[in-house]
This record gives sequence, C-alpha cells and structure tokens, in this order.
Amino acid sequence: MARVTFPFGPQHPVLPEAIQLQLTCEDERVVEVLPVIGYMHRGIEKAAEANLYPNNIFLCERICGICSFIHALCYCELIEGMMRVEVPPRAKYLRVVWSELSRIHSHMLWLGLLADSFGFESLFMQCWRAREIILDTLEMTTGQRVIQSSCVIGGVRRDIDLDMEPGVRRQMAAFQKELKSIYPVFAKDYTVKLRTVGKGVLPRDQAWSLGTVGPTLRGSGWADDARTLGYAVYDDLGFEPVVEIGCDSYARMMVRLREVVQSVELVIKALDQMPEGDLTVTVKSFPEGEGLIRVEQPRGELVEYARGNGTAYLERLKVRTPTFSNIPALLVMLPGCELADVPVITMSIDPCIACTER
Amino acid sequence: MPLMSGNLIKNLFSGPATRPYPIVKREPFPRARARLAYDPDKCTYCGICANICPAAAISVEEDRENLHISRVYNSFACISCARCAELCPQGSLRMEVSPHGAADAKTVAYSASKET
Repeated sequence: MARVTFPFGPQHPVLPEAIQLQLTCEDERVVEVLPVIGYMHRGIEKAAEANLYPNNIFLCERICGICSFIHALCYCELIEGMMRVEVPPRAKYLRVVWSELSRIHSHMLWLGLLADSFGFESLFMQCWRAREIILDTLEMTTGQRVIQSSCVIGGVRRDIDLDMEPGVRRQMAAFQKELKSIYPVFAKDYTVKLRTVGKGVLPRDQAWSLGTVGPTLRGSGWADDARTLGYAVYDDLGFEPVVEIGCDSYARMMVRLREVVQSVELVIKALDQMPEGDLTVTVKSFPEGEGLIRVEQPRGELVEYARGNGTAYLERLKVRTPTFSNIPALLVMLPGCELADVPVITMSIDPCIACTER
Repeated sequence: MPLMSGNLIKNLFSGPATRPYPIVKREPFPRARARLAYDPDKCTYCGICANICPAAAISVEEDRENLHISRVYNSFACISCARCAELCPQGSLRMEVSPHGAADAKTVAYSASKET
C-alpha cells in the first residue's frame, strides 16, 4: 500500500501550541512519526544571563503561562539552595498552596482540551467553568490569575491571612462540587473510554527507558514524583504519588484526574497546618557556585541548573522542561494507531511547547 | 452521556454561566494588580522604582546641569508585578484594581521634578 507523508500542525485546531508531527500513513493507519519543534523559541535562557538575578523570577514565570508559579518556585528554590537561605515555614506552606492551585488549573485546562480533542464539547465547557473557580482563587490571593508574581528569593510576597482563608476554603468547596459532576464522566463514560482505553500504549519498561516524566510516566506504573524529594513542605503533608498501571491514554487521564482530587486535599491540608510567622527573610549576598534542582510541574519533572560567579548576574541558567522528556514517547505511542486517534494521543502527554523551547 | 444528565438538566433550567458584559461588569478583587497609578506630587524622584523594575518600564534620569530630574513610565512595558508599589518610600505608586479599557488607553508618561 502507498505511503503518504503529511504535516499535522504546527497550526491545527486541536493543538494548543505550535508543534508539527510529520505523519507517514498507510491508508488510515499511522506507520511513522517525526515530531518537529522550533516554532516558539524565545531565547529565555540567554536573556536570564543579562538580567539581575532577582529579576529572573519574573522572566522564569513567563516560560509557561500555565505553570508560571511553579517555574518561579523552581528558580527561587534553586537560588535559595545555592545561597543557603532558609525560607520561613509559613512561606513554604503558601508556596504549596499556590503550586497546587496552579496544578489544578493546569490539569483542568488539559482535561477540557482532551474532551475537545475527542469532540465532547459540553464536557470541555464544564471543565473550563470549574477552572474559573481556581483562577478566581489565584486572583483573590495573589492579585493576578495567570502570572502570580508571588514568589521571591527568601519567601513569598503575599499572604493568605485570616480574612482571606475562609474565602479560599469556600472556593475549594465550590470546586469540589463541580469536580464531583465531572469526575464520573471522565472515569466511566462509554464514549470517553472508547476514545482513550488502549490508545497510545506506552509500555512500562519503555516509559522508563525513554526518560518520560510526570503523569506520562506515572500512567505507565512508575511511582516517580519530584514532590517526594521534600522541597517546600510536601513531606509534612503526607504526599504520595498517584499511579495508574494501564499504560494507555485512559491511564494518563486518570492520573491527572486523581491528581486534581489530591491537590484540592493538599491545599486544604496546607491551610489547616499553616503556621504563623514571617513571609520572607532578607537575602543580601549573591549566588556563587553551581546548583541543580528538580521540581514537579503539572506535566512532570522540571530541572533547573544555574551557575553563579558571586555577582548580581548568573553565568548560566539551564531549564529542562517535562514536555522535552515526553515528546520521544510519541514515537512509541503513535505508530500503529488510527489517524483519528492522533489528536487524543498527542494531547495525552500534555504538550507544552512554549516550555520546551523557552 | 447519561452520566452528564444531571448537569444537563441543571443547565437547562439555570441561567447562562457567563456574565452579560458590558451590562454586568466583573468586580475585581481588592488585591488585584491591574495598572500602576502614580502621584507625581508625592514623588521625590529617588529612583528606587527605576532600579528595581524587572521590565525596565520606569527610567529616572538626572540632569545635573539644570538641576532637574525626569521620570518616564512606559505602561506598554509594565508587567504589573507591583514591586515598585511595594518599595516606594513615599507611597506615590500604588496598584489600581480596575484594568485599562483597551491597549490604546496605555501611554508613555513623562514627569519631572521642579527646577530649583
């Protein structure tokens, strides 16, 4: 049978960002795939070398519009580690609250986009409506919906005080109510299962050998989560990674869905246990030497490396984002699938190309 | 689809989830950071805001010959991080909760100290 090679993307209705898949098909079946990136490079790593090191927080936040707080947190934790700064406990709890709110809004956005990719428009709307509650909570507590700018080196800039805390709890209760109506549709609906179960299988051993991270790896049965490394206060909150053993698109979807439930519980638990105290410590010196940190983003493990020379400018800042590790998995997931399943399988790794290309 | 039937029935009898803008406008939260308001009467032209601005949206220049300091604020470059508003010792900068109407409402604002 004749083989046809054609581009899928970079401008495609199902893709939230610009990635091209060069698909080779035999009839309706995909036999080869070649992902092409390079449409969204912004030179952020180079720009970070020209910035004063505290100003890089705002630059790092802009690597990704969805997990902006976690990018800022990662950079702050990295510089704090290099400068041996001890962050106040209250700031650590606040960082967990905002990180988990970012994770919920990222996962809800993704669940909506997944529903859209298999044509379930009403579910897409329900997911994004529930996500509005989280965005409102972020705006109420930090001042902005997407770019929070609340993390600084040595702590946080804003507080969830006693006046604001009941409001956050109310918002969480409202979100849980919304989630309760969405969860069973994803988990049990016949049409959702038809489009996801057994599609885009990533075997357990290949998931590890290809170096996948985050929900893509956990959906293939590996309990690997950077939150278990003990940054912020995840240890005190009794965090345990969510794992599914299905290895297919359904398993990856269920990991994210269960993580949303877990994140809401983590936010409430962090609010319950939050101690009184300062929000920041004063940092006066400059970063020197090298540092490397791993932090869990909604899409997986984010790795940052920095080298300082004792001045206000960094010599090097390197960011490795989770989608960069997850793209090779598409070479295993896509060959053999139907052309109509390509959008769902591509979405199942939650591609964030703006992160990947920085 | 039967799993969504409860939702569908609820949506059928409830009003729209969206707000009928511009008749009903969204109330901003008290902590919202929409745009930077500047009071030149309180300003002492110390230049702290220009030094700490991560987007280089504020510049303060000193003209030593004419004993004159000028300040330029480019709202197109401003990222509304509110660092300047937090650190301004005179309280001449603060964040307003209501946003601009449109991009053309933004300006590059000049101000200068009085000649002495």
